[in-house]
Parts: sequence; C-alpha cells; structure tokens
Amino acid sequence: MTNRLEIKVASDFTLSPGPRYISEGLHSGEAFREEVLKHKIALAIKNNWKLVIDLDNTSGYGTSFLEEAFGGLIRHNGFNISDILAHLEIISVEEDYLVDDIKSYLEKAKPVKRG
Amino acid sequence: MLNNTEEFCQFIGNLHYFYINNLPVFVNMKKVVEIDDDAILVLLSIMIEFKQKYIKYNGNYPVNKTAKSKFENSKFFHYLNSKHIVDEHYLLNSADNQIVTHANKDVNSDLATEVLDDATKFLWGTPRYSKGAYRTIIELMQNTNNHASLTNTGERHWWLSISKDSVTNSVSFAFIDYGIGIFQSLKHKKSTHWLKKQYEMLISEFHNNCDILRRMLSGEMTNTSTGEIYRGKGIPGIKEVLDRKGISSLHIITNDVYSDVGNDIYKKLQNKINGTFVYWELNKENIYHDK
Repeated sequence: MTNRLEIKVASDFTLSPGPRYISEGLHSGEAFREEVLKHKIALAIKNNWKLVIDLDNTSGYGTSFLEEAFGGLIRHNGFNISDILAHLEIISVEEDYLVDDIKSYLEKAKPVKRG
Repeated sequence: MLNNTEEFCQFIGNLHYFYINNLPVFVNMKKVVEIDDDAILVLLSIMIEFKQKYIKYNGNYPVNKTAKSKFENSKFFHYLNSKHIVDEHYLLNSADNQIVTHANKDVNSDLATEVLDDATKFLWGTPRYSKGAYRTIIELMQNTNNHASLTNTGERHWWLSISKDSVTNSVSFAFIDYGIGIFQSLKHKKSTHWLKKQYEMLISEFHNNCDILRRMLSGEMTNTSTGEIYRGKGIPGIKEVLDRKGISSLHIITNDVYSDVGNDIYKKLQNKINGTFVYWELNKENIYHDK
C-alpha cells in the first residue's frame, strides 16, 4: 500500500467545522462526509491506498461533526469498519485524543437497515 | 446570575410567567446596585424574547451610578426603546466593544471562530486556536438546536455573550437558552431510550438532580445493556474540556441545579429556570495552539 490520498480538513473543507447535519448549520459533518470523505475513502479502498486525514489547523471540532462524518460512512454509505480501518490514517497533533474518539465512533456505528 | 443565583432565578421565573401569559411587564431596576455582565445578557435576551411576541416590556434605570452605566454601556435601553424586534440573528455590541452578544438558532461555527479569534487576540495579542472553547460553543449551540424544544429542532434562540476583562486579563463567556433544560430534556426522551431509563432509575435513588448532573458530567451514566458510557458527547464533553484545561471556571445552571463544576459544587435551587445557562472563562493558563 504505497500510494496515499490526503485530506486536510482546513484547506479541503473548512477552518470552522460545524454541526452534525447540513440542516443544522454550515460546514457540517454530514456535508464533509458527502462532499469529501466518502469519495476519497472509496477510492482508497478500491485501489488499496492509504487515506491520510489531517485534522489540525482548524478552530476545533464538536463531537457530533466527527461522529457523523466517520460513523456515517458505516450508517449511510455502506462501508464496513475493517475496510475503513485498513485504509485510514488520522493525523491530529493538536488534539491527539481525536484519533481514539474517531475509532470509537467507527466501532459503535451500525448500518441503517433500509426497508 | 452566579453571585445571586436563587434570587435571579426567581426573578427570571416571574418574567417567564408574564411571558407565557402574554402579559406586559415593567421591570423596576431603581434599587439595583450591582449587576454582572451575565445578568445583563439574561435581561437583554428576555426583553427581546418579549418583543418577538409583541408583549410590552418596559423598565427604568438603576439609581446606582455604576449599575446604571453598565446598562447604558450595554445598549440595553437602546434595544428597549426600539420597536418590535424579530430576527433570526442578533449582534449587540456594547459602546466600548468589550461586551459582544450574539443570538442565533443554527449551529454557527463561523461565528464561533470569529468570537474566539477576538477573545484570543485580547489575551495573547494575536488570534490563537482555543479548541476547548470552540468545542464548548459548538456543543452548546448543537444542544440548543437539538434539545431546547419539545416539538421541533432549531426552534429556540441561543444567546452568547463575551466580556473582556483587562483587570483579570480574562474573557468570560455566558451562554443561555430558554429551552426546556437538561433534565426536562431527559424526561421527555422516548421511554425506550437508555438515558431516560437511567435518569428514572437515578432519580428514584437520589431524589434530586444534583447528583445526576454530577454523574452525567463525570461520565458515570452507563447504558447497562450495551455498556456504552455517556461520555464526551454534548454537555459531558464540556466537562472533559475543563479537565484538559481548555477552559476555566465552568458553571452550569439548568432546571433546579446550580453547579460550579471545577470545584465540584452542586446545589439544588428552590427557584427553577426553564433552560440552560452556562458560564466559563478563558485565560492565559488555558491550552491554545498557534495559528
């Protein structure tokens, strides 16, 4: 797995990460997942590349933003946790605990059953 | 609000009575000798909530010169004397720009960045990242947007006031919403929700909300069927910010509980408030990152 993709939240999405859902305000976790994250993680998994996400140099994160962005990959976009974990690397020097938080969100997320 | 909580909550309760019954009110402040910035925020936000409902709200100045100048500086009477005010967003600056108040219904992360750029520039000379204070503001806005109303999300305004203090070299933040408050929100969750079940179990054991708020903030509410701990999310996430020294002097007043979280003081209030009031400070001891 030599090739890498990169997302820098600060330059590729926003300096001011916002709420959980698009309906709650700008720069939401849902918007980040739908506009940026899901495409890059799909590409990384398809080609067996690494997706490196840099969380630093933003104003910070609410928990709902991160939970919806990452947990939502499993709930809404049909990814499974083993594929995500095998192809994802999180960089968060400024808030190192976010790496564990995101792993925990991924572990707790369950796919939404569709009728 | 923090220095005379019981009486102030009683006062808010009296105003709330007039508000829900659409009754005009005259607030007599002649005898007020001391008033904090957070109390002015509360009065200002209540006055605008009255005006939004076309209910007459009037009042007079304190006789005490210091108290009067605080009101004048806050432009309280400017808004009092303006006609009906209905807006999604408010921005109220004091005359010297030391107190800035915002109101909104959405989770406004650009505003959180703007507010903290201003606050950190005041403290350190240039804007810094204060990730703890940022998370605190976002969690509170999200909480108001999601839980302040029993019927719909995004119905109620939150109010955020920032005061810079050159003497103590600190910035204080006061956040309030007139929603249903933390415990009423738990009570109104679906009967199958584990947090509601936990709340009902704990209230039958402790008979008061003080211990429940302490447990909630300390991450001691656990879903017994899954082992999931109510930690890090929403209001409990703010306690973690405090523990990591991201903010200082965190106080939470909601429904019938007053808490000075850092000093582990939790008191039952005789006079309940409808909603949630959160106060914290930022100073040079708090964690920051360079921009």
